[in-house]
Amino acid sequence: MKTVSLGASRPSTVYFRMPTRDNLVPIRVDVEVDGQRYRDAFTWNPRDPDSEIISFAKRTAKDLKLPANFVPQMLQSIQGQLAEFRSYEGQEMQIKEKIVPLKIDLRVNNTVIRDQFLWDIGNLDSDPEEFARTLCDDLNITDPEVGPAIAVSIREQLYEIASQSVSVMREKQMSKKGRRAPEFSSNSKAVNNAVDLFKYFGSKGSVIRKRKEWYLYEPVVDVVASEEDGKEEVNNSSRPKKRAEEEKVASLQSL
Amino acid sequence: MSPPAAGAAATSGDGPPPSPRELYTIPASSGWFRWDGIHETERRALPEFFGGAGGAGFGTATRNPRIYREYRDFIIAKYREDPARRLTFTEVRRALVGDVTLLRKVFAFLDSSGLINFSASSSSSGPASRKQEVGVVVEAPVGLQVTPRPPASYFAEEKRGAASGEKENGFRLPPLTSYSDVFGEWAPGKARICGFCGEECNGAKVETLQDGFKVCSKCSKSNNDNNKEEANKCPGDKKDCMENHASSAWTDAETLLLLEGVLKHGDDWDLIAQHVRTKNKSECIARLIQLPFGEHMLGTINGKSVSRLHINQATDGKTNQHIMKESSSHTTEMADSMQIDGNEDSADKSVEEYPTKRRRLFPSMDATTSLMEQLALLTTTASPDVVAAAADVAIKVFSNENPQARKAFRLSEREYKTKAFASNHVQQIDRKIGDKDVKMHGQPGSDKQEKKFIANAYQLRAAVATAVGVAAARAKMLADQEEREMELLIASVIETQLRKMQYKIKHFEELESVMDQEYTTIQQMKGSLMNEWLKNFGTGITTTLCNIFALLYQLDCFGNVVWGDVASKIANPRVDVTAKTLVPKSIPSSSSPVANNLMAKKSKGPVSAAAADETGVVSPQGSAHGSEGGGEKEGAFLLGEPTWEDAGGGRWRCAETGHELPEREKEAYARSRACRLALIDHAVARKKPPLNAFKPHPEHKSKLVCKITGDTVNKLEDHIWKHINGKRFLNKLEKLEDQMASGEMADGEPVKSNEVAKKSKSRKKDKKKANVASPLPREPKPEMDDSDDPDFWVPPVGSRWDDDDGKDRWESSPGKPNSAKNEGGSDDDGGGDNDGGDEDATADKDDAESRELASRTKRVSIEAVGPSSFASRKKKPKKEQ
Repeated sequence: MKTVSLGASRPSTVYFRMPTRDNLVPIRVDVEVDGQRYRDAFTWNPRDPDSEIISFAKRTAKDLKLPANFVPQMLQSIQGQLAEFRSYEGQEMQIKEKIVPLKIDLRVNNTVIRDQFLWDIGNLDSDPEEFARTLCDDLNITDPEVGPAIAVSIREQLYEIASQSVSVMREKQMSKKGRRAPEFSSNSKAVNNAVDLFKYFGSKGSVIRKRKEWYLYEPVVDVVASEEDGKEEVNNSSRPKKRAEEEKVASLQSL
Repeated sequence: MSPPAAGAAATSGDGPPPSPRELYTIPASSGWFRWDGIHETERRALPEFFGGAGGAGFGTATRNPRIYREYRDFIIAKYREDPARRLTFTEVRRALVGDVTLLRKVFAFLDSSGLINFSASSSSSGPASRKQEVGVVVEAPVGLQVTPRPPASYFAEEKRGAASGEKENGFRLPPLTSYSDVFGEWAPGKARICGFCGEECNGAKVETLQDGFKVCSKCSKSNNDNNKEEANKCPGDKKDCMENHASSAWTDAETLLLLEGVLKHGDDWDLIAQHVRTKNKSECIARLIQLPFGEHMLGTINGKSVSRLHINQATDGKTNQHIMKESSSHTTEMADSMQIDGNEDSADKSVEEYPTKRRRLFPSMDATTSLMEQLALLTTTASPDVVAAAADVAIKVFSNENPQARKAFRLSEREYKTKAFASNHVQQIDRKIGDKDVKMHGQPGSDKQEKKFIANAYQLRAAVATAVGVAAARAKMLADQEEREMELLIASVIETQLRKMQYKIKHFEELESVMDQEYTTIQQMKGSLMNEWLKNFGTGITTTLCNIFALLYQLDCFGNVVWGDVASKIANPRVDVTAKTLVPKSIPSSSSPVANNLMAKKSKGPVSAAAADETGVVSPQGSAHGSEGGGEKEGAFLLGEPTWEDAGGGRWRCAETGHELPEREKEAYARSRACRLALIDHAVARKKPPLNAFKPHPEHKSKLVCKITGDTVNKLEDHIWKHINGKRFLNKLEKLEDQMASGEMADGEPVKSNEVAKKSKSRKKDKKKANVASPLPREPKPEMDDSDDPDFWVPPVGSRWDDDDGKDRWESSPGKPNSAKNEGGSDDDGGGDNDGGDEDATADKDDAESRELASRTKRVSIEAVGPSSFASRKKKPKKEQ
């Protein structure tokens, strides 16, 4: 499709990082010890010293009144994920304008939220937390845990895409002729169906969606009656969320 | 209590779009917004779309100005579908394709700039009930702006329809207040309209006052609610005011803009009108003209809408407030353009709210003073007479229209009987006001005072009307004055402009005359230059022509010329001329000694010697002729002057032709063709060198045959000259000489002698002397036949020349070259030897000597400068062959 100002996307390579403004790593902890299960999700600034992790784990366990044997497991989980993240660091990844649909399907406490929206993984200025906050404001979601959960979910998806981008780059460097290997298809649905930019952003396309498609990209919020069997994020206390926020602030400062 | 009017004031086209022109309220700070363009503000705020620093990409697929506009337009349009409702980002993003981060930025920008959610934020209605923080967006009528800007006419029309057509646009003083204006729907007799709130009262609750006024129960209840109710329940009235505002009245913002514009643009009213935007030019002018009058009033300009919107919360003086409210609302309606403002508490409020603005205002007017005081102040600005008249009129009108009013006035007059009403009106009004204030303050308590209050209300209104009338009159006066001043100024401006133009024209005329002069001088110079050039060119032409002719002649002489030479000659004509003059000079001078020499050998006697002398003398002349004629051919005077014999009586006889002629004709005759021919014949016949190498042609009388080469030559001196200087001739001659030098004397002798004898004999006799000539004719004959060209001597082809070079040549003409070769330098040797006294000796006797001499001279001649060397040089290539 012919486009006037479509300078296509200008690919640039950077060292691996989260494709967001704040380089915060989504951490999801799911630890089960002695029949007790602790599930949590938060973001972590990889630049923070690792000594913070242990104190964080200890504090969390204390706050949640979890047994002390949770701490090493939490520590291990967090460290493992951070180590994985760091393994990517230093490798090059291609930052290219690429809009992918992200899907949110979460249940936080009593709120079930489903949403779908487009995200430019090449936009290093994006801010999932801010987006989540806006979403909650707009939808009038009062539960303070929903926003961070959404943000973490977004980050997780972005993280996945970014790590794949790294492997693609590696692939490319390995095999010189490696075009755009179809092996790119992975378990992530989000990556696969990147939006055809030309379809919408070309000179003939329109960025305004057809009305009948609106519902697809509309958030749906359900407030379920507090059935106690709701498992997801049950153990999420507001504490870790706050921690995540703290982390963010810290990272901002450190940045 | 945020009145819905805040948004509605300017958004007259609220709701579903009824016409292409919808009016929406956006803050003045966002006045840059245009549907059909992207403003710098937008570029700065969202650099991502415009390749700015903040963006990750420049003009990428998803981020470019076009996309931005689509986003923006959609969002704004979406909001305007229902301006009262707050648009959320989540609503927007479901309909827009694109990075949500980016979309959110756009949305946030539009939101913060007020392009969306501006009216919605302040509206309490709508589904946005969950928005408690709505109040964050301060309702700020100051910045209210109408967009898109409607044409004034459209506006006026709409308003006129709405507001009973009383309002006029443009500079037009509102009429003095009249009862119908002020108490439009407050007709006492007219059923159940609340005298205070103007609302139709519902049945039972009506209280009819003593004066015939009906007051609804709510109004009669004097409590705080009153105000609120009034505010809520007089929407019609209010709306009216609002709309009037929107049309012709000036808001603070507009006035400020106007002042700014005046400061910025001076008196370019078009620009100022553009600056103000919501008003047209004439309105702006009218407004500004009003302003000086209201200098001190400026302080009160601040938003009437504000005063309208802010229902005061003053605890005491509710009724007072009420009346003030009403009266002021009417007042503003009629005296809008004068910006008389009845803001008391609201003024305070406005001070609080818009301190910056307040600061700019004229301080003379204390915002806290009551309307009445302000009115009083107003009236003081006019002369007492005017005030009196105005007051009279006002009272009269009131009285006529309403008997109650008359009653009231009568009452008041009675009350103030002692005072002179007309003489000191101002004071009276002041007092009245004071009274009223007092009364009003005291009013709410008792029912009895109600009546008095009504009367006072009349008085108050009359006073207001008076003041307004006065102000109007004064304003009119000022306006007139301003107008006159403007005219004056314009006239002066035009005059100065004209003068300027005249100066310019004069200046241009001067310049033109200067230009003319220069032009003529240039023309003259051009002419003179042309003449000069032509002169030079003419002389140049003649000289070049001369040169060309000379060259042509030379070409003729030499037959073939090395063109490089010619070219060089053309390039350097001076040299050429000298060369040319040199040539003919050298020829005779060289030939004459030869002639001497040979003639001496032939023992021609004194005559020939004399001839030789003569030729020696004459030759320079010949050469002179040659040079003068420019076209004289080389060798043309080979034989020199004919031998003249004095025939006596001043006449001369040519020895060769026997022609007799006078002395003066001698020269002409000498050059004549007949003479020349005769000379040649003579020389050939006598074997006079150099012609002893030739014999007459057997068939053509006008030709000669060379005995050495056998060529046929025209019987012309220059042709002969050419021939004997020709390479062929010289070659043969050389060989002959060599042969003679090496060959035996004995052998050579007879040949020589034969030859000499042959020379000495006439050519015609040659034929007879076959024995002598036998070797010669044998050779020349085939040669002669071969040379087809009878007229011109053509150098033979080299190869054939070699073939023909037979042995016969050896015998044929050994001696001839001697004579032929004895040109140039032979002078010295020949001269010296011959002078030795062998004049009488025959050629036969001096054979050896002559041979020696010949060889010597030849060598010299070849090396020496002269025509021969010149010629030989030319033929060099052939010589080598």
